[in-house]
Amino acid sequence: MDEFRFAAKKTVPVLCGYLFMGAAFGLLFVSAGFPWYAALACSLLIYAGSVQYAFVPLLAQHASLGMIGATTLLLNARHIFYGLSFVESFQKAGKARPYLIFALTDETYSLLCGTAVQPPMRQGRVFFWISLLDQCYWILGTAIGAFAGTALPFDMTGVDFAMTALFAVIFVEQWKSAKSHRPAITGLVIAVVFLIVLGPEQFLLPTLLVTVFFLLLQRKKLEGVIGHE
Amino acid sequence: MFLSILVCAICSFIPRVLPFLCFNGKKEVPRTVTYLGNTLPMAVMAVLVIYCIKSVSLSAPRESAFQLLAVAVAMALHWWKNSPLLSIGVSTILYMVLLRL
Repeated sequence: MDEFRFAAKKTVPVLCGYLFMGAAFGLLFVSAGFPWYAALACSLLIYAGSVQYAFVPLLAQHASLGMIGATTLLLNARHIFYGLSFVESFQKAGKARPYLIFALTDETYSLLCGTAVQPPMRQGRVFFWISLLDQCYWILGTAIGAFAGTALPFDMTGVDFAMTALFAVIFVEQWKSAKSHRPAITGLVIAVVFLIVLGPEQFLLPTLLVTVFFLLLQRKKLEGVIGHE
Repeated sequence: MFLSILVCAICSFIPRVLPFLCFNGKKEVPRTVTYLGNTLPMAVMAVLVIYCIKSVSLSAPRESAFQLLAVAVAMALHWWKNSPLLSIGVSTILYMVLLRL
C-alpha cells in the first residue's frame, strides 16, 4: 500500500493533464459522430494521446486500415526511444512488465524517469501503480469528455491545444532539470530546419532520425556532462 | 470502426515493445543505447513542441499568432509556477477565447 500511495502522489500532475486531455479527446471523438463506448475502447486499447487525436479525423474520413496503421506507426515511432531507457529496469518488474511496456506514454515515461525508488519499496510495484493510475486518469477523462460532449453541445474548437500545451510544459520541465541543453537545442534546430525544408506533413520522422544521428556525433562531449548512469 | 481501433492499438504497441524485443536483458545493453536513452527524451520533447505548432504559417497569420502566443504563455507560466494544470488550463482557455474574438 505504501507503494500505491507513493505512486498516487507522484501522478498528481498527470492526473490534471490527463483528465483535461482525455476529456478533450472524448469530446472530439463524440462530436465527430462516434459513440461514447468507442471513445473508451480507444483509451483502453490504443492509449496514446497524439495518436488518438490524429485518429479522429482519420476515422471520420473513412481512411483505409493501411493509412491508419502507417500514421500510427509514424506518430508513435518516438516511443522506440522511450523503451530504450527502461530495458534494464523493467526486467525486474516481473508479471507487470508487459503492462509497463504497453502503458509507456510520453507522460508516464517522464514520470518514471524522474522517480527514485528507495529500498523498502519495490521499484516494479511503484512503476506498475504509476502506469496503471495514469491510464485510469486517461480513461476517466475520456469518459467525462464523451458524456459532457453529448450532454452539452458547446463549440469546443481549439480545445485540442491542450496537447500542445502539455508538450510545452514537459519541455520546460526537462529543460529546467537537464544537465546539458545541447540535446534539446539539437532537436529544436533540426525540427525547425526540416519543417521549413520538408513541410509540416513529412518532417517528423526524418527529424527524429537525423536527431539521433547528431546526438551520436556529440556523444563524446555529452557523455562527459551527463555521465554513464 | 472497431477494426480500425484494433489496427491503431496494435500499431501503437509495436514501437513501444520493439526495444524490449531487441534488448531482452540477457545480454548487457550496449552503451550507445544507454546514451541515447539519456539524451533523446530532451531532444524528442523539443521536436514534439515544433510538431504541434507545425501548421503555423504566414497564410494564416491570425491563428498562427494566437497559437504561438498561447505556447509562450504555457511555457512562461510553467517556468514561473510549475503547475501543469495551471499552465495547460490557462493557455488552452486563452487560445480558445482568442479564436473567438
